Amino acid sequence: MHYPLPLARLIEGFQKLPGIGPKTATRLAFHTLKMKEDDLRDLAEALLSVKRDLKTCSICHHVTDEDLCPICRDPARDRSTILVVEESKDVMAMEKMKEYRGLYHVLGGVISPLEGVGPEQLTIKPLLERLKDETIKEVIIATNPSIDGEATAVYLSRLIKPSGIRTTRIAYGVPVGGDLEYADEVTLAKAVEGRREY
Amino acid sequence: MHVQTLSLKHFRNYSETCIPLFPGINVFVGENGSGKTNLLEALVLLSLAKSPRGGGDKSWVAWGEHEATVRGWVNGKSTLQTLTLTYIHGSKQAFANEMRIERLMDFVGLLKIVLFVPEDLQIVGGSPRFRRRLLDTLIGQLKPLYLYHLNRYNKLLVRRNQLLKQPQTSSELERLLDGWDDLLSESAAYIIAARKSFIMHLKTYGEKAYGTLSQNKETLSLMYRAEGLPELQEASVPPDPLVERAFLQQLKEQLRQVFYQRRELDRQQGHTTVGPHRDDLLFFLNGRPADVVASQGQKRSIALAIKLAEVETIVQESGEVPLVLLDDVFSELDDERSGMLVQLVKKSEQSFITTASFQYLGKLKDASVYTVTRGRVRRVE
Ligand SMILES: Nc1ncnc2c1ncn2[C@@H]1O[C@H](COP(=O)(O)OP(=O)(O)O)[C@@H](O)[C@H]1O
Ligand SMILES: [Mg+2]
Ligand SMILES: [Zn+2]
Repeated sequence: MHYPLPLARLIEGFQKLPGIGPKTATRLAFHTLKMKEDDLRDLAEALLSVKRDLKTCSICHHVTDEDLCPICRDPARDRSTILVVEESKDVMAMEKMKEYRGLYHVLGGVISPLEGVGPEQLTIKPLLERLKDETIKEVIIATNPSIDGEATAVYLSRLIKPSGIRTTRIAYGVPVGGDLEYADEVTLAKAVEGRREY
Repeated sequence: MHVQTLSLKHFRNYSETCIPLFPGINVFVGENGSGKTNLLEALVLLSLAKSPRGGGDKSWVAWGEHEATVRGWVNGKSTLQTLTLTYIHGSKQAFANEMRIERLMDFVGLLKIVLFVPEDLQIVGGSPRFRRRLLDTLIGQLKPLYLYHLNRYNKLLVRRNQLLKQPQTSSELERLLDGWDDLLSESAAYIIAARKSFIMHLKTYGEKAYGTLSQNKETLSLMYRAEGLPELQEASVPPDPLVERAFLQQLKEQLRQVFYQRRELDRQQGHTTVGPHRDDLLFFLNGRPADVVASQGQKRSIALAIKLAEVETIVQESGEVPLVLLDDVFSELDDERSGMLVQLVKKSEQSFITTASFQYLGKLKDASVYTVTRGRVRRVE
């Protein structure tokens, strides 16, 4: 099938979004043909603006369109507590529950030896800088209950401990998963080629 | 417990089959390669959600198919449930009474089994892997949290090994390892405490069974060997170590130190040299190491005694009598020992025996007999 160039470009563009294959992309592209010009201009502008106007808060690294996010700007928030999360979407999920009144810190991921992500790729240094402020009394670590999330939490709490600031961890239940993996196969298969069988 | 009906779809060499089963002894007779072991494997899958043959989940899907289902109608002491394990869209899903069970650890052990295959006869003298596997399979059916810690431990270990392979060390890296070792020692402590406590059960019942087998000529005893923690071998554990927080806490602290002390060595070796993945279960006859002093026959008797002890442990711990699955083991045993095995089978609520020859059926009166031919099962009246 040969599409006129503008249409082909649009189809290709849609396909770059997650969860959208060639079929859906084509359907979306033909749908845009029928849309009003004003709506299209708004959409195009909105698409451009997420990249152009959004940045991360210079204090907590949550996404925002200003230098400071609304949470860090809000004088009613409790400035003695920082909740540490992996991503901005975790801040939004937490805010929806309307239970937490303190500040946040967005790490931008977790430490992952297998993915090659170390502490320096995350906003850990800026977090430690923030903790020099004496108003901060407690850090709550709310990384996900994945293996790397757990390990990142332990790493952080060890890092913060010497400062004397109270460090707590949000308790999760036992996460999904839990297959019968015998205590050797994965690990030893990778590690012991050619070594004495133990 | 017993399974009333087993139904298979696109499983190994079975296209679509529904097999009515009976309490008591069930015997599958057929030529090699006809599909007898596959039937036992299906029952193991309903219990452990994992094939005892290894080879990944896709391996039990019939060649040329993408989905497979094993389903059993299971009678427990006070329950009747359908258990289903399906391989679909590249992974497996478990159901109990048609309800999806998200965490496999909540599925494992709903059906309880003790599996006896010819390799089990090498439990003494064979690879420590066999013995760890025996413990993991037994405890995993009884303690879901054990499965959680096994998984977590394995995942952490892979990551620790990755960190150990970093070309240069730094205080940053050391701090990272501190964090990983913290979690690692927590799961390791749970695994070791659980194994030690279950070895006490196995010891009690195994000693008795072995006494009967050997007419009390020798005594059998068992011990857990924790790599890097020799003092733990003699240490007694509280009756239920898994609820004794102080005990677990202390063990965790010991392990954390051992992981720390081994860090340099582990770095040189490129992997973690201490922890439950290196531990072992030791057998002794009259206080001497059985792998050295026991004869071939004695080793087989020990294997048999341990199987009897596994059944007894499950009965005592869960109140359910496990299925006993015997894959081609009669042909490996002499008359006396196969006589013992017949005793075991007669005591269990339901057992499954595979054999290539009718020759062993004489001892198994009142058994339901099935012939297996190229993926077809027929009951012999
Ligand atoms: N994934 C599979 N799909 C179809 N057939 C299979 C598959 N895996 C194994 N088989 C077949 O199953 C048979 C082996 O069955 P098995 O139960 O081990 O035999 P036995 O009766 O000797 O115990 C072989 O014929 C083999 O070709
Ligand atoms: Mg076989
Ligand atoms: Zn902010």
